[in-house]
Amino acid sequence: MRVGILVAQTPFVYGRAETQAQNLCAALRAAGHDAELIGLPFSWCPPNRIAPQMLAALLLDITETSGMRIDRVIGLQFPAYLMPHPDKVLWLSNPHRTAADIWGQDLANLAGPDGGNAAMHAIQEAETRLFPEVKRVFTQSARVGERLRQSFGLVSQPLYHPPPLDQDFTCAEPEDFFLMPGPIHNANRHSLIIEALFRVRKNVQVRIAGPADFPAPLERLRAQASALPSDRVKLLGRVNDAERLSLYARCLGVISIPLDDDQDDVTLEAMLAAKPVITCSDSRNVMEFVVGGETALISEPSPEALADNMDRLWSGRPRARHMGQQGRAHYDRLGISWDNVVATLLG
Amino acid sequence: MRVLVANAQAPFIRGGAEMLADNLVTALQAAGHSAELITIPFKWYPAQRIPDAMLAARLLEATQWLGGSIDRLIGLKFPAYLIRHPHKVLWLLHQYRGAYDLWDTDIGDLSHAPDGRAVRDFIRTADAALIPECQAVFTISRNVSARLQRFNGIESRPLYHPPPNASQFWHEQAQDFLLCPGRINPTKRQHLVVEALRLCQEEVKVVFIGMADAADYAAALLVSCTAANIGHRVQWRGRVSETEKLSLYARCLGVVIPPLDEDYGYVTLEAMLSAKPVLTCTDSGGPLDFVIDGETGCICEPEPAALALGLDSMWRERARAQRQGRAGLDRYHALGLNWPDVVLELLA
Repeated sequence: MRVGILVAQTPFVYGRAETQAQNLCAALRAAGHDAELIGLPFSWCPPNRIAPQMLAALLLDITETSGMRIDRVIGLQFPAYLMPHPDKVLWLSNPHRTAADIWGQDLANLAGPDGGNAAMHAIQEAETRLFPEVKRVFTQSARVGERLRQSFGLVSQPLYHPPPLDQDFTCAEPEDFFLMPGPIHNANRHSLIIEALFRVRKNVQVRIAGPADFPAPLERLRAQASALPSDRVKLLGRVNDAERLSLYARCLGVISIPLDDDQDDVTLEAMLAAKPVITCSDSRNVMEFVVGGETALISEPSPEALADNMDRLWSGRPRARHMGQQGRAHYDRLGISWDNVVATLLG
Repeated sequence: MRVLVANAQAPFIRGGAEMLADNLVTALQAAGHSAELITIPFKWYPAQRIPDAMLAARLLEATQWLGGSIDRLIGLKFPAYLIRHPHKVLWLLHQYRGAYDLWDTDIGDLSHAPDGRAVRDFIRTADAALIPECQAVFTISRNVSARLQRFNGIESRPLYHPPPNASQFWHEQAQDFLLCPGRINPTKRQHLVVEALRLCQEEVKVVFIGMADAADYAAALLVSCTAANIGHRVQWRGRVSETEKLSLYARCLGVVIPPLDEDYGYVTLEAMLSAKPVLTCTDSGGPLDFVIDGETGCICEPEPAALALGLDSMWRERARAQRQGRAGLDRYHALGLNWPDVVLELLA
C-alpha cells in the first residue's frame, strides 16, 4: 500500500512527535509498504495566522502523486491532517500539543488579543467537519480519547506504540539514584520533585535527564535546586541514546509525574528496563500503564507524598527490584508493537 | 543564522531536486547555521488545482519559530518559493515550465489542459509580481536564468553547485559501451539515441540507466529497438544502485546526454568527474554550461544523423575520447564548484 503520513513541520523544534512519525514510517516500510512523510510547515504564532494556515492545508491535493494513487493517509498532526483525502485515518496525540507546550496546559490559553479566540473557533469548526470524514480515529492515549469524546462526542480507540529503541533497554545492578527523564517544561513538573527533595529523610539522589527547549523553566529549576544539599539532584541536560539507556539500566527507579495527555514513553521505558515507577494519581497517561503497588508507587501530587515514596524505594531495594520485574512482565503482556500499530492503522 | 529552505514535494518521488535541498541544508549546517527544510506537497493536475497550491503557499507562515524570528528563507521549487518571508532569497531550480518554455509543446501539460491558458496566466502573473519580493534571485544554471529573463524580464545569476557524492567518482580503462543516464522520459529523449544507433556505421553499444517514469514511452523504446534489430546493442538497466552507477561511469567510453532543454543536469558533471567525454545536443540546455565542443566532448544538432556521427566518432577514436574525458575532469576542477561558496552567496 502507498501510505502518506501527515505531519506538521514546526521548524527548529524537535520532540517525540517527530521521532514517532519517523518510526511509523520505518515500521510501514519494514512491513513492505511504500510510506512517506507528507509535511506542511506550521507556526502557532501569531495566533491570527493559524486559520490561514488551516486553509492552506485544505487547499492542497494529496490524493495522488505524479500519476500514482496514494492509497491511504495517516494524519498525525494539526493542521497537516486537514489535507483532504478520501481514505484517511487519524492517530492523534494531544492535537494541539505545541500550543499546550507554549501557553500552558490548555488550548484555552490561546485566547487573547491577537486573534486567539478566533483561532480556537476555527480549529473547533474545522475539526467538527473533519472527524466525520475520516475512516477511523486512533489516539495515542486513553486520555486523549476521553477528551475527544467530551469535546466532539467522538468514539476513538487508543493505539500504543513501543518507545524508540525498545529492543535496547536492559537492567543492571541498581545504583544510588532515581532517574527523571524527559524534557524540562512545566507539564513535566520537575519543580514538584525538587520540593519533594527538600522533604526526604534518606539520602535520596535524583538525576534529571532531559533537554530544555526554552531557557526560562531551566533557570527556575536551577534556582529552586540551589538550596538543596549538593548531590541531591543533578541536571544532566540532553543525553545521547547510549547514556540514556545506561541511566535506565543503572537507576534504582524512574520518576514520571507529567501532567500530559500523550502516551508516556518514560513509563514504558522504565518497564522495559525493569525499574519501578514513582508517579502521581493525576498523571493520567502514566496510569494507563502502571499497576499501583505492583509496578509503581502512586501518590497524591504533593511534595510530602512523593518524598515518602522516594524514601520507601530508597530503603526497600528488594521490593524495588521485584516491582521492576513485575513492570517488565506487564509490558510484555500489553503486546505493544509496531507490527500491531501498522496492522491496526491499515486495517 | 537561522535559515529555512523551502521546497515543493511530490510525495514518493525523489530526484535531483530533493537531493539538492538536502545537500543545501547539510551545507548550511556545516557552515554553522541552524537550517531546516520545509516542504509543501504539490500535485500539478488537474491544472485548475495549481492556483490552489499557489494560494496555499502564500497562506503559510515561515517568518517565526517558537524561539524568535527566522532570519532567511531560501526558496527552491515552484510553488514553494511563493511562501512569504521578509528576507527571502530565491535559488530557482525551475519555474513551472508548462507555463513558459513548454507552453504549446508536445510535452507541456498546461497547453492541452482545460483552463490551461488561464492557469498559465495566473502563474505568470504571480511569478512577475512575487519573484521580485526576493532580496536576491539566483538560479541553478544559465539556462534557468535565461528563461527567467526571457519570460519574466527578471535578472538573476546562476549559482552552480557540485553534484551529490562528487568525491565518489573515479575512472578506469574505457570498455566497449557508452552510457546514457537519466529517467526514461520523453524530455530526456532516449529515442534520439535509439534512432541514431540505427544509423551508426559502427557497432556502437549503449547502456541506459534510470527509472522509467513514463511507462508508454519506455515500452515504445523497447519495441523500436527490436524492430530495428539493435536489441543486442542496447541495455536497459533501469534504476541502478549508487555503486553500480559509479562503476558504469568509470568504465564507459563516453556519456550521451541528449535531453531537451535540461535545467542543470547532474549527469554532465558526473561524466566530467569520471573523466569521460560528453555527447550532447545544441538544445539540451544545462549540459551546454559545461561541455566545450571538441575539447571535453561533442555538441551536435538534435537529429539522429548528427548524433550517429558523434557516436561513431567517439567509438572509433578512443584516444581522443580519453583525452576529452581528461579535459572534462580538468574543467570540473577549474570550475571550483563547492557548497561553502554557495552558502556564502545565498546568505550574503
